[in-house]
Amino acid sequence: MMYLNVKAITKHFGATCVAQGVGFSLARGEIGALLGPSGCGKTTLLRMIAGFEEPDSGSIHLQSRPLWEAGQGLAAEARQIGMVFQDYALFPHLTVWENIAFGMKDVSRREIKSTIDELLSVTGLAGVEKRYPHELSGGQQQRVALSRAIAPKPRCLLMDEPFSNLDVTLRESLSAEVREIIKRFGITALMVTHNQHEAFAMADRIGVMMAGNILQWDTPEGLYHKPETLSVARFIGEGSLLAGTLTSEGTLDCGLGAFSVAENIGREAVQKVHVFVRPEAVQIATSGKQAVARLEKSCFRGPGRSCLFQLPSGEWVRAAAETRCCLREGDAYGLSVSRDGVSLFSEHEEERFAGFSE
Amino acid sequence: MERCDTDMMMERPLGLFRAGGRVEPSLVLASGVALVVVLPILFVMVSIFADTRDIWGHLRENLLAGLLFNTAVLSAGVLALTALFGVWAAYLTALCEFPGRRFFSWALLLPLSIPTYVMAFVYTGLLDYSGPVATFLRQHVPTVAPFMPPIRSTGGVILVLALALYPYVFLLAAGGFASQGERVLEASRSMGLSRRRLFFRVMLPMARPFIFGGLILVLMETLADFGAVAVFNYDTFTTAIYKAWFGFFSIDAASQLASLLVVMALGVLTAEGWSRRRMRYFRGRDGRRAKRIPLSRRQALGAHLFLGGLFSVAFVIPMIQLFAWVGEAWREEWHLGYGELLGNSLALAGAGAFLTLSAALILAFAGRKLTGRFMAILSRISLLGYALPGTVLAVGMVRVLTGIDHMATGLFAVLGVAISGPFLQGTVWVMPVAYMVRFLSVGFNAVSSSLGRVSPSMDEAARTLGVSGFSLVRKIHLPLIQGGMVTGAILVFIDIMKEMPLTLMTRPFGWDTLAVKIFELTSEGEWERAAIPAVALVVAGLIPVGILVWQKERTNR
Repeated sequence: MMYLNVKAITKHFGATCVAQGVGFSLARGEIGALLGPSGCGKTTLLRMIAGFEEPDSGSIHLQSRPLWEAGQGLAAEARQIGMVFQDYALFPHLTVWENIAFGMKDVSRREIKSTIDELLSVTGLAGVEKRYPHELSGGQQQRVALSRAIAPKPRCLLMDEPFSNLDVTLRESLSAEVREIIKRFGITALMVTHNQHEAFAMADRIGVMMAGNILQWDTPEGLYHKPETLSVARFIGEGSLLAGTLTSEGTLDCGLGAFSVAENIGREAVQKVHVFVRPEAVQIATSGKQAVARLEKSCFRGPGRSCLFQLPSGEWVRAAAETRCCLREGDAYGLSVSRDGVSLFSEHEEERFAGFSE
Repeated sequence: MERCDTDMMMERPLGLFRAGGRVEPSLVLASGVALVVVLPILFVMVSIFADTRDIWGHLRENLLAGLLFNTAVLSAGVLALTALFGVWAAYLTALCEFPGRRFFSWALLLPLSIPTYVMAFVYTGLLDYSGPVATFLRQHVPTVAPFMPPIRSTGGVILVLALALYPYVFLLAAGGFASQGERVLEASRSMGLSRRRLFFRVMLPMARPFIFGGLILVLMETLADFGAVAVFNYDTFTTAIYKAWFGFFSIDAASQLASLLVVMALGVLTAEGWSRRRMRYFRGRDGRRAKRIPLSRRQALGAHLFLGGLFSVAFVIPMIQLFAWVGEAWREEWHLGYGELLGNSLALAGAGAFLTLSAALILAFAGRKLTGRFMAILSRISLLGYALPGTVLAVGMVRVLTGIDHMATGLFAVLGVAISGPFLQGTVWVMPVAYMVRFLSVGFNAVSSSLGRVSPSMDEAARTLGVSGFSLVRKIHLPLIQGGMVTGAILVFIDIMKEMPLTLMTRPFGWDTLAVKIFELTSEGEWERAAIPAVALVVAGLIPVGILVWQKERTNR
């Protein structure tokens, strides 16, 4: 059995449903992330694990012991789960040291001191332990909140949008740092975020959540390269959506040309499908027999250039190009596609066709 | 570990966040507070229907029209004058820049420390026919003397009340002007508005809800005022209630008059709720405050004349006069038992502040724990008392107590014990309760604003760290609201010391306080002797004004 198990959680606030039979699990020492737009129910799910909200049905187990089962559960204060809040919720009347020591009970004075000293040095807070929260920068406050949650050696760590109050540059450096700290202490953690870069930087497993459902629970690579639904494909990263047809022999025909698909799909003769293409799978050539498209917009991005082409069919294709190559807006170029950057989805069910790539 | 977990699951199946059919203790306590507040009001209102034909008829024929007229004239006059003083002073100190601006922005709040009845007797004593000013004029410039207007006139009461009450308008209007963001004013100027038109078309309309809020406080105080109008022998509802009760010995007639005053007070209260809602929309959103307009030399001189004049008349002159009288009366008076008066005042204020703060804590914590319509209504009802004049509240309290005494006597009679005389009515124990009803909102505002700084996520953070229940209150809530509790207690304490009619009408016979002594001495025209307790009250009153100034300076920096 996995370390943290969430099964078939359903939760309503009045008439709105914020979780419809949601489930996932984390192995010991893994970091998970719930990723989704605001209002998708991810924070509520986190708060149900912490014990601040009660599920209508379903169960939550930690270390094979129930936190919530059959309509009954442990109180939040008895769950031994650490939490980092979006606003950090530091106690303004206590110093950094006192904040971190707040949850350490039944522990010898020596152990408190050694734990806090270690945390302070790992988080780079050494020297500020006598200050009050309002005397610290945002990044420092965030690290105090993390240290306070870790200090009592919780069974699990929860983080609610931990970086949303920081500016963008700090966010990236700090998320890598926080991941390192959590891994160093071997803590199983779950975070909630609406920012996929944060989720990618922090998590071993990510659940994409929309309208009270986890659409896919997977590794970051799995989410990007093998999205299981069109919604996940659209939400993670960038890409273009084309209409295509798939013959029973396994040939895909779309605006970027005709390919043969590796596996035979034994259904009706000809099917209409959605073709989802990642920008980096599109190659641009100045000439050739590939599909010809006109460059409408080209946008310099530093490491690369983002190009928007229009196909003769009127469909739009986004492609990534090198910065140094000179492309002129309004000119026609040949496009080809590498197959492992393409996902197919059936037109009606939005579900992925198995085994296209590889 | 396993056993421990299952134990906790048995004991706490629902966690802290669901009442789950259990009776919520904080809700019971909050309902108790609301009941104590609402009972006196209900008892007064019910008396509209009581049958007191002879006295009521007499009142209606001979008095009612006059009382209504007096109240209307007084209110209109005081409102007009306070609006003039308050708005002008607020505009100059909040939106203009000139030497001395900072001084006036806090100094003009100082008159708040002078109770209206002290302001009244100081100016009566100073400007009366036998007072120093009139005597000086008669001796040195006899030609001018006859033209000096009499202070004991409608104009006199209006002026005195306006001098004591304008700081309410000043305070709120200054806040309104200061909260106007720089962006809005810049936008208006970029559209080509001249400075004069900027004031009348943008600044004044934007500050209007704040000015209105200040004027409503002034109206409440004017309707509730007893001491000042008593000094001037200017009959309003409050003095009529007092006379009906202590003159005609008719508590019924007193409560019928009081019920009319309740209706007026509730009307004012409704207007206040409306203006508060409007204030929220008018608060500037961008953080930067408007740049102050520098005044030219001549304009600055005019500002100094107006602000300096207002400050002298409303604070400096009354203080000098008070201390001069104290100097004269000190020698003969100091052995006359002011210690006992002071002791009584302090004891009452202490007990009242303690009770008020306890009730405020109950309401604040219940409001934090329970959100919902019922709780919102409960706390609104509980905070009604500040709109009620002390005279009305005194009548209501006495009626409630008479009812309880009747019930108690009946109960004891059933048990075979005969007791004579009232059992609660006219005892000291009732007075802190009456103060609690009147000043609960003062204490509540201080406590709840500091409790509001403790975010819900702080509670949750403490709980994930294994701290909950009483130790959560002890470790997190109490340290963070201590400051608010002390501020609230000081404000309530001093309000109680200054409260005149409620003390006068609910005290046991002969149980005097500083405010009661002032009433007795001024009704005999003994200004010099009244100055000694008055100075004590004014000095005490400077403490809450100091707190207010400190808060204002901190937010407006």
